[in-house]
Amino acid sequence: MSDVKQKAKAFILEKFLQGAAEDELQDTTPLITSGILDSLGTVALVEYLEETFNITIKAHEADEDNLGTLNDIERLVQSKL
Amino acid sequence: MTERVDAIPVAAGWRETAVGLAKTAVVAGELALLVLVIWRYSIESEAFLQLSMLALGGFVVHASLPRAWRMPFFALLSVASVFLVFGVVSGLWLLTLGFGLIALSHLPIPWTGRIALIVAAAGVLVLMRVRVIAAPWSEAIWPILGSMFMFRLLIYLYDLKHEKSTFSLVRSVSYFFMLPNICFPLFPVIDYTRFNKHHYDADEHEIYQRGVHWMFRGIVQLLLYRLVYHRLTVDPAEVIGLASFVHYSLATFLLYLRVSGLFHLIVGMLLLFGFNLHETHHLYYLSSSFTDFWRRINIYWKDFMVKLFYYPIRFQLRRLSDVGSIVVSTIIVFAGTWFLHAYQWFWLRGDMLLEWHDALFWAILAGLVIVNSLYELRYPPARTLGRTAWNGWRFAATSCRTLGTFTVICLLWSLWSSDSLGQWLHMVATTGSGGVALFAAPPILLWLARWLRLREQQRPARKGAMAPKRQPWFRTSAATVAAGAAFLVVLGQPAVYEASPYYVGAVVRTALNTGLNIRDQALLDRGYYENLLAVNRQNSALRELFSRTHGDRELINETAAWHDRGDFVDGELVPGAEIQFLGHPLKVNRWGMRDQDYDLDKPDGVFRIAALGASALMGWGAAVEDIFEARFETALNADAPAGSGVRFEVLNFGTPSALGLRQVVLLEEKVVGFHPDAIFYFGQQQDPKYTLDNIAYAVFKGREIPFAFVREILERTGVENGTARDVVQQRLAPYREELIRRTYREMVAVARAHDITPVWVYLPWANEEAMSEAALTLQRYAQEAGFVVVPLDGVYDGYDQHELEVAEWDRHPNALGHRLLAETLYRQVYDRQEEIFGRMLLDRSQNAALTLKERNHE
Repeated sequence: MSDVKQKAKAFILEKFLQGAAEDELQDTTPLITSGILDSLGTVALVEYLEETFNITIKAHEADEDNLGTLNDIERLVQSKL
Repeated sequence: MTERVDAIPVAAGWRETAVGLAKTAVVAGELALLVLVIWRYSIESEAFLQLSMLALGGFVVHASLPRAWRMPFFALLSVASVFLVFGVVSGLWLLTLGFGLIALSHLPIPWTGRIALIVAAAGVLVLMRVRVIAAPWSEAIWPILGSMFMFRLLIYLYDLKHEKSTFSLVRSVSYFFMLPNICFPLFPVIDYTRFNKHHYDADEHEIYQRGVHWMFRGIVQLLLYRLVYHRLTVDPAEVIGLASFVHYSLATFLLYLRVSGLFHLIVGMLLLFGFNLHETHHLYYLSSSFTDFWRRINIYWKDFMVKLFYYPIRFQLRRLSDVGSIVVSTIIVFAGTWFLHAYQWFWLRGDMLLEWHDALFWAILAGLVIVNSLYELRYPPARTLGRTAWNGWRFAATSCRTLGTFTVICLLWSLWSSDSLGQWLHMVATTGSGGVALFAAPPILLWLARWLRLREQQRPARKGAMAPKRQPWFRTSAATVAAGAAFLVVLGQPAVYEASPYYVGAVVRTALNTGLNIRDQALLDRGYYENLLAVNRQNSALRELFSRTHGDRELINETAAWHDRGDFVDGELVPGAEIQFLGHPLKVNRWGMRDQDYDLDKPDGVFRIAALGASALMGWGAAVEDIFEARFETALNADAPAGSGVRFEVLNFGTPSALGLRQVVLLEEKVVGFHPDAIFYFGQQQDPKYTLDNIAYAVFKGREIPFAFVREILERTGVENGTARDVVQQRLAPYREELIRRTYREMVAVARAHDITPVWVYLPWANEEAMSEAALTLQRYAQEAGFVVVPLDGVYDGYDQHELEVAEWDRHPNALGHRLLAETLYRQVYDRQEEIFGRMLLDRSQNAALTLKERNHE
């Protein structure tokens, strides 16, 4: 698993899914449509990604296309590195 | 051997194709059943029924086409729906305006230039909407053009600017003119990117099946809405204590079922064409917090606000603390929601809705969401990837939270649905100490939920079980929809529900009732969504297109045939007036009656009946020769024995909005001068309401009330001249029974003083149950007051209400309704003739009822 995915996964598990086993959160698990990330959570995740990877994410990028799954998050971050 | 190997995939391919075809056929069958339900229960409008049939045919063709052709076909079908509902001329106008706006969005000029041009075009449309500039197209176009572009154009431009999706003419046409929109001014705010991205992004049959499932769910919600609307809603004037206030608040919140029902129906139909959209509402009555409520109710609206307002603002404010940025962005989102609801109102109805209680509703909801968001920031809610592991503590905590949230939202909704803040405060004031407990309950419940949650967290953690892998649900869902729809179709047949137990029949009749309830019939005045959904009632051109019938909705007091008296009676018909009203000539005789001319002095040998009542008696929406009073007069004279020298005259004193006390005034002032032998007072369900309304209106206007007992009651309630009508009505509510009993006694006293036989006839609306509890109560009051009572039970038996009413939005009886009333009235009077006439004046051997029927069939 890439560094981006690992860090994003750890953040999500710690912040939003306390008590969930690591293997329960898969690369393709829907994050937004399943309700794991709501608008508050999305902003928190964006701030974390920006700080961790020193990138800038714009408001219109905070959507299901870019943050819908761990795979999407990795693709977004990689495109900005 | 080689042949065998090749044959296996071929056979598998054929099997897959056959299964696919069978599934498509099953969905088409379910859809056909739903169309039958839409027809049987008159869901929405005649135009929607036609659209559903178009969708059924379109679905079969669409599902058989190669994937690449489906979006263009959907675009064509959507354009066809515009012409189907709006016709060629209006359809062309709507498409031209729509294509114009789409073209402006794609002009090959800088972005700011395009936005400037669109704003300028919108400005011109605003001026046309408020009629500063004359629009060359039908008034019907506005609400639909508004619903297609007022929000979706904003999303479209946002996505266009950020290049978030694919754009093409076919996609744009599909998005803006999407099939069901033509019938629904209030439409979910569908996101452009989502609309495109999720087109056939899953198994097509699963998408189709979810579509019909949601349509069925939507229809069920719409039928439940009718039960709430007709059986549970309470007039604010009837709120006189805690129980009635709780009842009022619950009913107003439950009325929202209509919006969620319609949105399920709309989105379900889009799924049939491969657009794999998500739910618009999700168990919102079970929200466990205010943020949860905001996320579950009208999810598309929340997504729209988050995308266009919340994220852009929060991302701009990131230099602020979390608390600061959450507070500011949430306030802006809710202020925007309030403004955009007024903006929506403008495009759909043509005026702005900027009222204090409306703003207060959004302000309070914003405050609650902010507090809740900050709380969740500090104590993030537990989320799980699997099923929630329930235990007693968790269940109790969630129940308390849900009940607390539900109570607050109900109270807020009652504020939003009230006519004014003053009216709501007066209702709250009637609840007394019970009201204090009601308002204190939510914080206590929410505190208790927090305490229970903490207790639960102190227990050893139990992991939530992983969600079981979803089993194929196509068969279960298809069986549910098919069986449910078939059940509704069968139950909706008159032969079935009339043979069912009483309560089943009553519930089905209510579910079939598309008319207005008593309060709205009188006021046409309801909450935000109720009023928006009634836009086709307010817009006569749109009403005509949707109902496929004559769309006039005139008010008699806005015509030359009406004059304002400026006193307690308020107004009456102008003697000698001749106008065209609701498609029929309305001619008023020299005495102010819609009737043939009569001499003031009663001729010898005439038994004279004065008919007293309101608009139905006047023949609202009916030709004068069809009015039941005229037919009744004909029947009486047909059965008067030849050579007896007896003749009947029935004088129609029907005056719109004049029931109860106003009729007592007219009786003394006008009717007794004609020396009638009997008065027939046609009481109606609205008698108590009109009695209170008429008094409240007179108090509000500062007019003298010519009844000592009313003045004495008003003194007791402490209301003064000029007091708002709703306040007077609320204060008088505890005296409702006394007022109606005294009114009837007054009427009988006047009649007896002039040697007139008082007869009370209950005049039912076509959608009323036979002698409802309210009608029986009025009948008892009438009997106690001394009237001869003539019930018209079963007058409409065997007929569908739609066959009997002037129009879908007008419950007054049409020609057939009047004929049935005349026949039943005649039969009842015949059986009571000694009581009414004092002797036998009619001879059944001439069989007037039969004569009457034959004449009417000619």
